[in-house]
Amino acid sequence: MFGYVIANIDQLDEAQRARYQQVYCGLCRALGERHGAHCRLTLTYDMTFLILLLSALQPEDDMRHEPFRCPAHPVKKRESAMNAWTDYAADINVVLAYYQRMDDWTDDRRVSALAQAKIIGSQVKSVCERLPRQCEAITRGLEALSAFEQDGEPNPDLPAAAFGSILGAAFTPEGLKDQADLYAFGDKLGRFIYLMDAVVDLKKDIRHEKYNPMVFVDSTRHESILQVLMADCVEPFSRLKLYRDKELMENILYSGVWARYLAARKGGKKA
Amino acid sequence: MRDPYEVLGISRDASEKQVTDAYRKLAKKYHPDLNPGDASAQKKMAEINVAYEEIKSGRAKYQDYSKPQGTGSYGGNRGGYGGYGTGGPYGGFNPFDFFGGAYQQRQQTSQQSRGDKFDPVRHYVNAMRYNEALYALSEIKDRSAEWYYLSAVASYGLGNRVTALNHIDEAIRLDPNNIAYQQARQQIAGSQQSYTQRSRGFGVPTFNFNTLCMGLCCAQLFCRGGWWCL
Repeated sequence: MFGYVIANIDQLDEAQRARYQQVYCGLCRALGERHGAHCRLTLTYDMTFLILLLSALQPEDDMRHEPFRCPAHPVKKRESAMNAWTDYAADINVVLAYYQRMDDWTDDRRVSALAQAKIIGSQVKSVCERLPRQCEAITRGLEALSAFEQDGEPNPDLPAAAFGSILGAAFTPEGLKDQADLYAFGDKLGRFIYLMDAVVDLKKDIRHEKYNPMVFVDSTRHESILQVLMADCVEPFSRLKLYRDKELMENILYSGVWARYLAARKGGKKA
Repeated sequence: MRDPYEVLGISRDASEKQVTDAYRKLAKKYHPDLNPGDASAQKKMAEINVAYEEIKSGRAKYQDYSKPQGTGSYGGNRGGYGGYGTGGPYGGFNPFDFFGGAYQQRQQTSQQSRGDKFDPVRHYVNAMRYNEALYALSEIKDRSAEWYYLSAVASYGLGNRVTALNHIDEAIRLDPNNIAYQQARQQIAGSQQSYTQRSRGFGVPTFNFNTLCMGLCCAQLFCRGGWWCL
């Protein structure tokens, strides 16, 4: 995805920070062990949030903690935390990464994207046998998105809803009782992420004459619109019964999701 | 209103792609974000947006712009006609949409019929048939405050939050004293106030790679666009 669903690290306490790092490292390890070392490069923080959320719905904490050596930081041993949701999130991560790179290839003819897609692609088939509903939702959503992009759709709600349907499916693995709230949450988070990405890339896209749905909306309204979408997103979140990591997730939803936006705005002012 | 084809500088039989290309070229030239402090750019961009939406919606093809138009002010996005919400192409696909619908319906104030041209729209809104409401609205040329208000309510019902917000603000701009519009604004904006309040409690988040980078994200950052690192 786009790497917006991240924590505001400065506001986390030591224990929260350690937990976030362990779950993140667990996801990275799962990507490597399940799908091969190259798939580690598709690692995103967004999916770390998915693991935290799905795990928090279970009364007991079933994370396996293990020390390991990270290839990116080989000097000191780190600790990873993994459970079944780590594997699920790694699978979703791979499928999303695959289609995103295919999209980069068809849109911009980026050879690097095609090369990466080819390598990841071998994994996608087996994931889609395990998760047919999610894979179909991802394919359909991205197809709809690319149609809106090609068509130059001026209504931002439509591509945003298409991306929402992708995350809605990603947030509803089989066998959980909170499906409705999880779907609503994923859907709304997806809409927010899509439009946030559009706002952050606005000037760049206008300059390169690329599709961006927020061109059609007065820029002075963007921040307020994003706030409304995020307020909408935390509403189903607040209905979920969470057994742990609630404050860590709230840090992400109330603060971290704005980090890249504020960084881009600050950078834009300097320029 | 000027002929939208004239505004975009294209002929009436321009292809979809020519329309989009012309729009993007003009946006590059006039978008206020790329022309800070230029009031005329703002105005020009608004005109370009309206023209593009007119053409994309299919309305422009059958309209004679040399004749005087209705007094309605244009602007903002067209609704989700043939939309993407509950009844859209994802209709049977989103099994949980009715939860959202039921939740919204509970809070919605009923739209009384008033014996005017908007009655069919109100009827559809009351029946939660939002796509049909938007379609009926698209047939009404005169975009008054009430038009924007009903469009906002129907868009909100479909989960099209951005259009809903843009249109309710337009309704309020045209008729600032209407209490129903103010109430609808409050509902559409939802818990924005309490969200931002809580958000502020966390202080300004900083996007700092030194503290953030705990795994391979740095490798990813440097590798982006290169495939040698696969």
